[in-house]
Amino acid sequence: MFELLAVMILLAFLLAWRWRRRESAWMPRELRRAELAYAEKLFKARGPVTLTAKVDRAYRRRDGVIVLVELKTRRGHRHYPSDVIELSAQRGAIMKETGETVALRAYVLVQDLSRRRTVHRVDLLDEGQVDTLIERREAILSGRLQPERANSAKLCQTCVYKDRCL
Amino acid sequence: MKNQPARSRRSVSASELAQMGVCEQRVLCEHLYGKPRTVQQRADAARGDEEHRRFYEARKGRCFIATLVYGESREVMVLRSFRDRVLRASPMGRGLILAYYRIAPGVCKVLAERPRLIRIVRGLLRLLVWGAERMTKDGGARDV
Repeated sequence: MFELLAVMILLAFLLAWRWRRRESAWMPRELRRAELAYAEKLFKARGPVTLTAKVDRAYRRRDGVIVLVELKTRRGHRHYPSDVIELSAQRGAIMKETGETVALRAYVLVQDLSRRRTVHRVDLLDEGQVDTLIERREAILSGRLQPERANSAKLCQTCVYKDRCL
Repeated sequence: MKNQPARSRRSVSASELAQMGVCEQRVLCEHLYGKPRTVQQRADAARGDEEHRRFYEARKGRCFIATLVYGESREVMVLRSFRDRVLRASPMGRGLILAYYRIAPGVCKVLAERPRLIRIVRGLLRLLVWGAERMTKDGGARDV
């Protein structure tokens, strides 16, 4: 029994070493010694409009500040303004629900079809900018404000609403 | 979809808000006409969900021997985290977990009748807990 236990411990350490190398390969330096605070956790910020955000990963640095990481599966290794908005909304939801400090800098982890990963550092919107965006969205949905079109012709060509676009 | 859909106009998810950075016209169309998806978009969404599942899989489960030895304690939490974040990440690790779950009840039966043996196992497990804690330092057990 003890031999079996010893073999299991050895195997577990071997696997852990391999996993750690693979798992942390994408990690920015500032997160390598940070603690995983939240994973796949839903946060809610109640207000005139309730903001819900499911956080992929949130790391707590040694100084106590939370840093967000968002995983995206894409063909191209790049990040978009929508990633910044999503992470900014997550930041606002965590701060309002927990009172913790969340960094204005976050990471978008992009994984392609071959599962190669690249990490992109992004600067987030502050809480006021997120609130403004929420208000703008409300105004568009209620018809008080005219929505703007996308600047990308390619996006319009592939849009499922292209025949209905107002 | 990763984020919860809004149930009314007075609620918005982070991913829905993110669409404002893609096309505001599309945000309105989705609100008015629903969210039809092309075959490619559905496939992409399924692939994304699967990759998220792989990346974040962390389930709570049984930890027979450690629970018997330590009770519901910090050590058990560390070992659970190690199992979920390290062992589950590879086929070999998952095989090891399955093998463990097969033999653990039998080991527990033996241990339950031998308090002295429990003390020895506790000493051995201490080493594993120490190593597991170091290995999972990047990702603690909390809220995972």
